[in-house]
Amino acid sequence: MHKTSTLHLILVALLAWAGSAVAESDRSPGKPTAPVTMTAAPIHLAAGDRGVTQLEFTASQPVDALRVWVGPSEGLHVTPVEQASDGSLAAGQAMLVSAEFLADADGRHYLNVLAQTTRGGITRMRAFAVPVHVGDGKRRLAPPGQAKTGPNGEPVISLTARETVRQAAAE
Amino acid sequence: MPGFAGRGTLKGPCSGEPFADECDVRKLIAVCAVGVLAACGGGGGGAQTAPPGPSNQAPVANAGTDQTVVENATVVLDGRQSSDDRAGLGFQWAYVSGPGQPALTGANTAQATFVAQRTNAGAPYVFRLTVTDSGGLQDTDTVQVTAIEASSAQVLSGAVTYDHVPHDPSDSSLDYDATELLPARGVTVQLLDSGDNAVATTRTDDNGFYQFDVAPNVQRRVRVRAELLRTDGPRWDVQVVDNTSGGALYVLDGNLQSTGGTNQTRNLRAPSGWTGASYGQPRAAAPFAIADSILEAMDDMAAVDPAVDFPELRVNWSTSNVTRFDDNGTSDPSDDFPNLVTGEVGTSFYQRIGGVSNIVLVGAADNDTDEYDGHIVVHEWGHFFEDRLSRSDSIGGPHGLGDRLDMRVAFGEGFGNALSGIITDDPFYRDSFGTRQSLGFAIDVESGPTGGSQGWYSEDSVQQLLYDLYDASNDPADDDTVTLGLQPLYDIFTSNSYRQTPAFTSAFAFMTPLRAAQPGAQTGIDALLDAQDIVSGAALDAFGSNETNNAGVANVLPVYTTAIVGTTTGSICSDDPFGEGNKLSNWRFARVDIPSSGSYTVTLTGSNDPDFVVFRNGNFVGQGTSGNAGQETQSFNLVAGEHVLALTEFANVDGDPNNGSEHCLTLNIQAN
Repeated sequence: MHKTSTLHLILVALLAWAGSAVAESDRSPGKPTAPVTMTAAPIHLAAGDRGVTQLEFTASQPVDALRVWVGPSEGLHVTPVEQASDGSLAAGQAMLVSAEFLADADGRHYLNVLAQTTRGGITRMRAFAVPVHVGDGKRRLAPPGQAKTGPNGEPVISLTARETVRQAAAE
Repeated sequence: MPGFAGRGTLKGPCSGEPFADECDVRKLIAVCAVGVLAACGGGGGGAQTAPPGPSNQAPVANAGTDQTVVENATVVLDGRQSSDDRAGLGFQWAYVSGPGQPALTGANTAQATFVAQRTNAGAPYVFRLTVTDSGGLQDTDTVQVTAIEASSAQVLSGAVTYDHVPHDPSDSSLDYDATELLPARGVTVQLLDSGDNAVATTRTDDNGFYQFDVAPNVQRRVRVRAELLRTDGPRWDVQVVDNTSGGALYVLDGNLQSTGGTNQTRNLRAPSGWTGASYGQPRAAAPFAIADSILEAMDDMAAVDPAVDFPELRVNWSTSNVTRFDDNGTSDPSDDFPNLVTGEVGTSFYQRIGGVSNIVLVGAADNDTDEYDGHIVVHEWGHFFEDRLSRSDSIGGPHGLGDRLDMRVAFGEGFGNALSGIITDDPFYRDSFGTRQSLGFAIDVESGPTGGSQGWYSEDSVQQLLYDLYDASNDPADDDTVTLGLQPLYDIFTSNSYRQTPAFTSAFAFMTPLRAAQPGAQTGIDALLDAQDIVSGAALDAFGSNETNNAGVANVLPVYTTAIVGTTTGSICSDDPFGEGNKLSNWRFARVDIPSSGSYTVTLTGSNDPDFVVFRNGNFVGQGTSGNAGQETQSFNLVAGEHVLALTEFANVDGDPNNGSEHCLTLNIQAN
C-alpha cells in the first residue's frame, strides 16, 4: 500500500526524540486542547463580498456538550455566533455551525473560532483560525513594533518604552 | 564631530566648500580623479590614481560622532555611515594620537573596538578611518574619544518593568483590570550612543534594576533586549524573536537623550498595549512576559543544578501567530505547515530546527494568545528540557481530556503539565482564548483523572503523580504523603540511567529509578502509584513488566512482549479502541536481548501492513516501514544488549479514523 505522510512524521519523531544524530526534532504535540476537530471548505471571495461558510466540528472523544463561538476578526465583519450542541456528542459525532461575514479588504484574514467541550464537569477549549482569502489572498504582516537594524547589523523589532527620567539634584 | 579640525577639510575640492589648511593631497587626487578634474584645476601634474571607470565616485568616510566615555569602557568606533556608489567598501582604522596606542579589535572592519584608558593629561584619543572603494578611491575621516576618570562618572540607573496581565481565577480569562507591573528580570540592557552602537551592556537583577557608569552630558539611549543571556554559573541563551519578521529580536527602547550633569534615573516600562477593549497599542510587554516565565523555569533548575548549561533557545512569538491547523481541512495543500514566516503555526509547540531549539507561541488577539499563559510557556519549555537535557520518546500527535494515550505521549505531556505547576508553584494550568481573551479553561494538575481512566497511559495521571511527588501540600484525599521537591526529579530526568534506559520513556521508566533513589519515601511513592492504578512496589520496573491495568480492553498488556532471538513470538495485537495514531494500543512494544553483536533479520508478519521500528537505549537503530502487504522484513547490524521495538499496523496510525481495527502481529528475529 502507498504510505501517507502520517507514518513518516511519526517515524521522524521516533528518530529525533530518541536523540539520534539528526539535528531536527518533531514538533511537540502542542498544548492540551478540547477533543474536537474542525473542517471547513476553502474560502475565496472578493473585497466587499459577503461570505457564508459551514464549519463542521467533530468530537474525537465523547463529550457532554460542545459550544462554539465565531467572533470578531480583523479584516472581516463577522456576524457573531454562539451555538451549543443539542445534548452530548459521541466520539465521531459532528455539529455544523454556519458563519457569515463581509470581507473588507484584500488579504488573508481569519475567522476566529473557539470550541469548548465539557465532560464530567471539566472544560477544555480549542481555537481555530479559518483562513478567508480575499482578493489576492496574501498574508499581510504587521510587526508589533518598528523594524530596525541594531548594533552589528542585528535585525530588531523596536518597541517603545514608557520611560520616566529623573535627574538628581546637583550637589 | 564639532571642534575637530580633521573633519570637513577634505571635501572642499569637489564640493565647493573652501579648502582648509590641512588639505590632504592624496585625498584631493582621489576625489578629483573621478571625473571632476576640471573643477579641481585641470588635473595638471602630480601623482594620480588611475580612474577605475568613468562612473566611479569617490567614497565618503564617516568616522562617527566624537565620544566621551568613562575610563576602561569598551568603545565602538563606527564607520557604518560611510558611503560609496559601489558595494564592497573597505575600512581601516588607525590610531593617530591620544593617551597611548590601544589594541584595536576589528581595525579593518566598519566597527572597531578598543578599551579607553585615561592619562592625567586627559588627552583625547584620535583615530583615523580610511575607506577604500573597489576602484581604489579613498577617503578619510577622524574621530575623537575622550575618556574621563571613573570618579568623574555619574550613574545612569533605573528599573525595567512589564505589564503582566493575570488570569481571572473564576474563568481563566485575562483580567486586564488587574494588570500588574512586574520586574523584567535577567534581561540584557544596552546603553546605545546616537549611532545605535552599544557602548555598555549589563543585565537586570531580580528586581529589574540596571546601572551604568556614564559620562555627563552625552546622548544615550537605554535599550532592553528580550534576551536572557548568562555565562557565569548556570549558562543560558534565550531570545524572544518575531518569527514573521525574519527572527528579529524584540527590544524595548527608551529615548535618545542627554545623560545630564548629575546621576540620572531612567525607568522603562513595557506596556501591554491594551486600551480598554482591544490591543490599541503595540504589545511591548509580551516578549518580556514570555522571557520571565522561562527565566523562572531556568532559575528553578539552576537552584538544583548550579552548573546547568542550557543550549541556545529561540522563542518565536508574533501577534500574527494564529491557530490555523492542517488537520481541520482548511489548509491549502501547497502550504508548508506550520509556517513560521506567515505565522500560520497552528498552536504553541516546541521543535528543534536546524540544530537550534525553538519554542513557537501563538499571539493572535481574539483568537489565542499565550504570552500571559505562563503555564503554557513553561509546558513548552519543558519539552525543550526533555529534548536537550533529558529524554523523550514521545511520538507527538493530538491529545486531550481523558485520552488513553501511547505511554510515551502520556508521559511527555503529563510531564509538561506537571512542570508548569511545579515551576509556578501554582497547580492551576490556565489557557485563555477568544474575543478580548475573555474565555479560558484550567487544569488542576493536582486533581487526577476521574471515571476510572487512571493509568500509565493517562497524561492526567502522570501530571498528578509528578506534581504530588514535588509539592509540599500533602493531601490524604489522593494518598499524597510525599514531598520530594524538584531536586530528586531533576536528578532522575538528567541521569544517564534514565536518558539511556533501554525502555521507552514512560511512567515506568521514570518512576523505577526515582523509587530506587528514594528508599525513605518508597511507601509514599507506592501510594501515589496505587492511586493512579500504576504498578508499584517491588513489582515496578522500567518496562512495566508486572502491570495489570489494561484500561479495560484486550490488546494492551503486556506493555512489552519479550522476544527471543531465533523464536517466533505471536499474538502481539495493534488495535484502536481509544482512537488512532498516538493512542493506547496503536503501537505495541517488544523487547529483545541481542546475545552478541552481528547481523540480524527482523520479520514482522500481519494481516495487512505491519511496520516496526528498532531502538537501543533511546537511539534509533532501524525500521521496517514499507507498504509491503502482510510482512515486513529488514536486516540490521545490532550490538549485543537489550533492544526495544515499536510495532504497529499501519491502518491504526495512518490518520484515517475509519479504517483501524485489531491486527495481530507475529515477530521473528533471527541471527544471520
